[in-house]
Amino acid sequence: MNETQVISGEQSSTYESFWNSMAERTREAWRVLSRNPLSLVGLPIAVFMIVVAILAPVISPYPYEEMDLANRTQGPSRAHLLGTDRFGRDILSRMIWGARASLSVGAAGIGIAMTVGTAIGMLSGFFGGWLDEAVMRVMDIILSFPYIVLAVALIAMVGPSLRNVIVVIAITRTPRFARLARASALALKEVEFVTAARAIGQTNWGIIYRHILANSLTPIVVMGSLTTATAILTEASLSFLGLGIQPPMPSWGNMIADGRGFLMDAPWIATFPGLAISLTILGFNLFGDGLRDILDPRLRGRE
Amino acid sequence: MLMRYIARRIILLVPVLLGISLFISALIKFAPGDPVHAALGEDWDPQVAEEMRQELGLDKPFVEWYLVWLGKVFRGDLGRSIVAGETVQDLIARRLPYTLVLSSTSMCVALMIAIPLGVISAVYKNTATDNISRILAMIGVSMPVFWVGILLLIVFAYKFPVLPVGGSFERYGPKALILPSITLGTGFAALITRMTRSTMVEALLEEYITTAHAKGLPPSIVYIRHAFRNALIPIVTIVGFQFGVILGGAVLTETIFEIPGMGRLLVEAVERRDYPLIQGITLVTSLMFVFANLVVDILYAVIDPRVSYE
Repeated sequence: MNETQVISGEQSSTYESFWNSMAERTREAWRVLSRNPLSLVGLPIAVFMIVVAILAPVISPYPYEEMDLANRTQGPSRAHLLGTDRFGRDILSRMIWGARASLSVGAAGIGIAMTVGTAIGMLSGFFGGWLDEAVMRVMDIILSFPYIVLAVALIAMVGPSLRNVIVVIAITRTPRFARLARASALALKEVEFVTAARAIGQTNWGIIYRHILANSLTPIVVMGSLTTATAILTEASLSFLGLGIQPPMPSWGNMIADGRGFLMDAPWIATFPGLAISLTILGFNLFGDGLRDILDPRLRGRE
Repeated sequence: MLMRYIARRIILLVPVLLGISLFISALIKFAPGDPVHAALGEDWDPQVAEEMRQELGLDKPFVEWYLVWLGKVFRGDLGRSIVAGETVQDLIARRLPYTLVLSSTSMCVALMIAIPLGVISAVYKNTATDNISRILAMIGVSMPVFWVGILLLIVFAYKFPVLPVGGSFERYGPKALILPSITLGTGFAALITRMTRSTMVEALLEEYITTAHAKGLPPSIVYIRHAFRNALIPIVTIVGFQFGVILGGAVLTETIFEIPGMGRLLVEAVERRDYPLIQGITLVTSLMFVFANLVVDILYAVIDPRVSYE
């Protein structure tokens, strides 16, 4: 044990004890989760979608751009389990590749937002002063646009493409992580083990990294899961409007847009991708909610 | 100290408004490619292009550009749409009412369903009613707005042709508002149901509720006058913030149901690289959003006096 742990006593102040407390909390987690079985459902759904996305080239029955013009807009059949679209492309395959597109965009966007946002928020909260004010004003400015409007305006500036959707998601989601990290930093700045660490000569950066970040990880992870759901939704919305992932690359959003012209004759083209989006978002939401319920000490005692 | 709180809130707005205006005014200047070229199309006359550039003021340095733009905005001049030829403010003024009607109808209907549902769910916690409504709310929150719209269209307009496929209520009557409102309102209703339930549950755990029961007050008074009023406070803030999400959802809903509102105008503007229009719409929507948040903040301080003491 290092000096900091001795001085701080019970408080978890390193990553080691973070993992230890995670193990302990996992046991508690099962207890809480079993009272709220819905959230147990969320994790397998999310994992399933991620696996599908990763294995797309392997499990996809047809290549996503292969057209079969003789069999356009067919309903579900043995050859095409979910039917074909107006170019005869297999919908199931396109949905599988769409999972890859949507999930990778969501993950990349949130990954960037989480990293940059947490860094900015933590530094801002810890050091305070005019830097803090300036950074928070910028975050406020980003948050003062309705997010789809901001997303659309940003796309107008940089043009529609997969990469730009990632950038847009990152920009629009960063303030949430920044605020969260800042709140954590502000709260933890004054706690005893930080004062103690300072007393033994720990540098500022050391404190931020070892103490403040380690103790703030859990709400950030919860936020990560919940914002992944919104990120997937944002990508789908942009692609639906034609401002996101461009055809022929399939995205669940642009598949729904494709299907709009065939609602009367071939409603499955638009229905199935939407089902996929809803299921995925539901999975991440349930999982994030379940995670939050576990980590909120107030709810644990009383329910 | 309500006045001080309000004054402080308004002063804090200034840097935000500054930032918003800077960003919006920069949209056209820093867009890659040449907006004039994009607007004029393939065979563009250098003479006309040069005139257009000067008219838009693209050749000026940024500071001057920004100040000129700001001056125009204060006078209500948002520029001229590159494609449509009308002034931006006319276009917006014409289409904004549709968006506002759609948004308010959706929010009202959603609130009328969601709040009672949330309260009932909290009061009868863990019963079948509660569990069903929680599941429904969870599903409602996870469905993309545009997919809900399309599903509703398939069922109610195509398979069983009961309701119109879209268009404005002006031409097709109030029936045309039904599907769009349900579409836009579903996600919002689901969220408010969840929020209402969770704030009510927390409120019901407070000690003053036990006191109220002990005093012998009838349950309805306890739940409504005491618990609900306190639970309402965070909900008010959420509703204000959600207004922005609703505006965003309106973009998608108007596209599906072919409603001639401001949301759809934005999408059309982006497709046609009509930057003055994009700027105008973004400016108007963000101003509305900021204003709505300010109103909600003030309302919050009025309802809960503790807030203004911070």
